[in-house]
Amino acid sequence: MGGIIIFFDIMKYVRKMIEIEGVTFTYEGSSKPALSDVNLRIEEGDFLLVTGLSGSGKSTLLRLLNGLIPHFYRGKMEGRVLVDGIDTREASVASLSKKVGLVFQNPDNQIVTLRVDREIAFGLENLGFPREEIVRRIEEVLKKLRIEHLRYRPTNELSGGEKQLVAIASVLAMRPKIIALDEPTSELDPFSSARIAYILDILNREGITVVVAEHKLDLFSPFANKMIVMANGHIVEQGSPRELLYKKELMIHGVRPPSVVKLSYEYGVSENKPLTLGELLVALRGR
Amino acid sequence: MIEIEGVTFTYEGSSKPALSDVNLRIEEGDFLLVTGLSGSGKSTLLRLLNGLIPHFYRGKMEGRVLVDGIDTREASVASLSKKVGLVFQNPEHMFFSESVYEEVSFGPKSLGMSKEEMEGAVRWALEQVGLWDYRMRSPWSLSGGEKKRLSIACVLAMKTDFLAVDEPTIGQDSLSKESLLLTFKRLREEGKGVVVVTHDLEWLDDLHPDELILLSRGKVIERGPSDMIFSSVRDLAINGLIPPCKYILSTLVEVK
Repeated sequence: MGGIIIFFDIMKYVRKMIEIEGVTFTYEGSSKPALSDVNLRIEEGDFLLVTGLSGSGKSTLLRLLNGLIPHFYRGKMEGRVLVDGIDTREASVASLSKKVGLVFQNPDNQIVTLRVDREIAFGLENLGFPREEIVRRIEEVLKKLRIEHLRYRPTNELSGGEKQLVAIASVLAMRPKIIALDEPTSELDPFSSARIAYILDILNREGITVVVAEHKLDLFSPFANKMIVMANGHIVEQGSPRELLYKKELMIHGVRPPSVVKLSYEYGVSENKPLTLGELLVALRGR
Repeated sequence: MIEIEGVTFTYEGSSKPALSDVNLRIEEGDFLLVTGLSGSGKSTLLRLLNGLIPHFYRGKMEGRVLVDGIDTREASVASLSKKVGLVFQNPEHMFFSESVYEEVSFGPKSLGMSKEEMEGAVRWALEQVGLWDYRMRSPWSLSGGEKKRLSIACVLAMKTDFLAVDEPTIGQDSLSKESLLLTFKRLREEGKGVVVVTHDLEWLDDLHPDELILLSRGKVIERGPSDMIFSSVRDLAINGLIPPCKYILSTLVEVK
């Protein structure tokens, strides 16, 4: 009995942040829909990993979350997207961007100012925040991402990884509830990529909902609680990373299992479904 | 054959050399993997191969680079680029044609290939990177990963003896990575000398590079058969690189 009561207690707090209901979207000038009948629910506190081949609809899906579709990209949209219960067609991109922050693949396309602190202030200034509040938030996000030392650095002198962290910082300064990232590590070296993954894990633990489109499953799957696989605009698989990455059908959609998964088959410990080297090692010892 | 003999290079305006006393020899049929963190000198090393250094980038150069016995200082970049094809990290800086097909045919045309030969080379190159169906599209309409593959096709179509590629896997999904791997495998079998600069060691492990060169701050700090270097997991990790998973595992199991 007690268990059931606690369950309902928790259910009260699990809030649906985003509901995508039967969305089909075709870009203007294109004959094929980029998304076909997509249904997805993202709950508060989720860490959702979106994967699939290039052109499978990952970027289009992310653009739905903060209203860039249908407000910015033209095309034909069916179905609806609710963010915090509000239909994105009826909300402005400005108001949605306070709830959902979007980080793009190439930080060079996102960075618009010459100095790191100016960059983080940019969005806040445009929304008319008072100066003290802007300074407070700059300090807060720099600390959160462990990049206090970059505060006064020129943005053009930053490395690729540092630029991506600054792009994330400027999005976080708006204090969104959800941060969505489109292949954030595709241009980064392994060290910087791992740093992005760990930072996202920390943010998620602090309560921010994370949605990340990525090919580097090795790096992100241990942190995610949900995963979807996209192919030709459809969501073709949905579940926990542990469940999905050990599914053979994944290969049909062009998704290759991470090396830990391959190794655990090789060593005959796949029934334990390890996702990290640590888990694989534990499985090997328990054999 | 490309021979790099005791090269130290310092870019104009920089106080520290980008490369220090590098010695290297690449023969036709060799497959060489160069790795190291950002800023370790990988791209500078590539620029040496077709004479971009010292012809295009200014700075102070010691030592010499010989391509087929000719000192690159005495040869033009145009004549060198017939022997050594170079694919840069940011391909979009070089696109200027209206279609993918035209972009790829530019190189063969400027080499004076016959029409037939050129058409064959362009088609082959585009098929290698899976972009044949995109031939009528604008290079600018492609995704980041596709642009990268287009720039690889541009160089493949020139049928050079040597091919050097900077970070081919950036922005590629798993299928494209596999097909690139096959392309490199084939080039190697055909006896071309291939140099690949990458962080993605997991991806290249299958190909068993003949030699792996680990750069750090402009110096070659490790070199040898890839299996040997991948096994020195600690050295790679200290240099910010992630060795292929199976080598990490075998190290951990050994430690246990």
